[in-house]
Amino acid sequence: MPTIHLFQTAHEMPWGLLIAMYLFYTGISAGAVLVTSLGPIFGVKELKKTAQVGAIIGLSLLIIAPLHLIFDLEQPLRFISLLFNFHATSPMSYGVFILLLYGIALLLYLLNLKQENEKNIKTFGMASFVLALGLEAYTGFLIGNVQAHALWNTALMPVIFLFSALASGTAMVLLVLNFYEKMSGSSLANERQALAQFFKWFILADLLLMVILVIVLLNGNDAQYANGYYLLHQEGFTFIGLENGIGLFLPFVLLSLGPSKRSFVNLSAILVVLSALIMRITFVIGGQTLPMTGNSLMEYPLRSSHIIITIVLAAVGFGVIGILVKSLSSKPQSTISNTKKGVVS
Amino acid sequence: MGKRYAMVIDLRKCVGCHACQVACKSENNVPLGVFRNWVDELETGKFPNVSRHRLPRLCNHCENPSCVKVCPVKATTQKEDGTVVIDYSRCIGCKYCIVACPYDARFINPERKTAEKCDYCHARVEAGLLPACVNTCIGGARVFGDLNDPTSEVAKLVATQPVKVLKPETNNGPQTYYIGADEKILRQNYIEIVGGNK
Repeated sequence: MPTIHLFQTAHEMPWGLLIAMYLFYTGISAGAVLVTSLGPIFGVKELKKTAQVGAIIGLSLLIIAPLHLIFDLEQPLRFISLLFNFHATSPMSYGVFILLLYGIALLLYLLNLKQENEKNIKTFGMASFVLALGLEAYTGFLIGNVQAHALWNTALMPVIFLFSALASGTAMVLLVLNFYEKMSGSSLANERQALAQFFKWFILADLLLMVILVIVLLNGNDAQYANGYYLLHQEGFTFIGLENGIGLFLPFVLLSLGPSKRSFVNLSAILVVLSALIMRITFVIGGQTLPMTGNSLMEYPLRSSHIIITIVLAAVGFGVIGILVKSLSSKPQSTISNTKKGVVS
Repeated sequence: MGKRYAMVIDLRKCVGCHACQVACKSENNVPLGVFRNWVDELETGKFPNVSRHRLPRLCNHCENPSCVKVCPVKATTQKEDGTVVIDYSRCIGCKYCIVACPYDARFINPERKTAEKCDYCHARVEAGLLPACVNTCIGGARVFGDLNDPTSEVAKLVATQPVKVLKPETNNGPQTYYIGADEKILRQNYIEIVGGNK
């Protein structure tokens, strides 16, 4: 039976692009650290040389991720009070401390990787690993605990965030490895192949979790069903076509057909990173589109200032990755040529 | 037992004059475009079986408020009398409470740049007055008082009338009770909004 709201007050969508970008970058940061630390921490030999790249990506994106949150605050200068207040029931509160500890552990891990201090690598690597897991779990709880929005309020959310992080983090490592190989002058073909294997299964898990989420939503209560319907219809092109079709299914097929083909792996990595970005935007903004009151879908008014902040911070983040890779992956002295004839110094 | 403030809104007496909305804005200096307290006007059904309804809305001062739980800096707290209040000097404007409220009761005050919502005019209540919306309601539809005092009008109404609340499934325990509310207007019809057919 139709209900028409003749008079209702307008409500703005509270969270938007900056929150989505925050979740995107923390995901890549945690995912890159989780997968590459399997080498030095858990003895996966093929991944040992990727640890530094993972730590560089993790730290670089961790520098810019919280800035999105701060710029999204209505009182940005009060962000400092987050450090002096603790509220155990608020994921945002304990998340701040996870973020802080993760940043410290990651910095120490990276420094020790550079100095090749095996004992400290294990200590800080393990700390980074555990905190990266905590980071992804917390971002899942951040929106998963919100009962008001049926799309978010599922126990799957921390798991979805974890696997999306693993897939997008691995993708970013694979992409940055291209640059790292050029800078260091060494070939990491075996490492790439090992990562590509992990990558394929992370993508499949991510894809299956999306299927499970939709099935659960469509069989849930009215609000859950409506959100499932919304994802498949109003957001059908973005959710099915871009995020899961081109962004996850196609990379899985490419990696199954040619796991050792560099072009396939790189293309898959680009698509998965973009898919993770679309997923965060779809979940954060799409999750708030169904209104709490009234009978029309909420619209997200994208602010130009937020677009500028996003672009500037992205440039800073990737700039820091470039600088760190360049400075930490110096070529061995014996291979550096200082003459046009290639005389070794 | 301490006080537990609650509000009962008898929709049979609401004439849709929006005086409560205006009084609230005036009393609390609420800027243009945002409301602590508002009245939805709705029409349901298909011709010729149509009906018109009014639904005054405000913070439900829940028993188990989502907003209090998620506030990272404890700027939103619940007083002993059940009133959920915001300390504007602590609020960082993260909007987590706005996201978490299932009733759309919160907003960002565009001038103060903090979260805001109905606080039952607690300064008035502490001074022994009624909230502005209750005081101004010309139909006498709004009743405010201590739910733990069995002699209060609000407690008698909740005990004797078939009262309903918004979205009881959230388990937030909303403390704004409606008398004479049609079930159709209390529920948020999500499927109708997205156009699905469950």
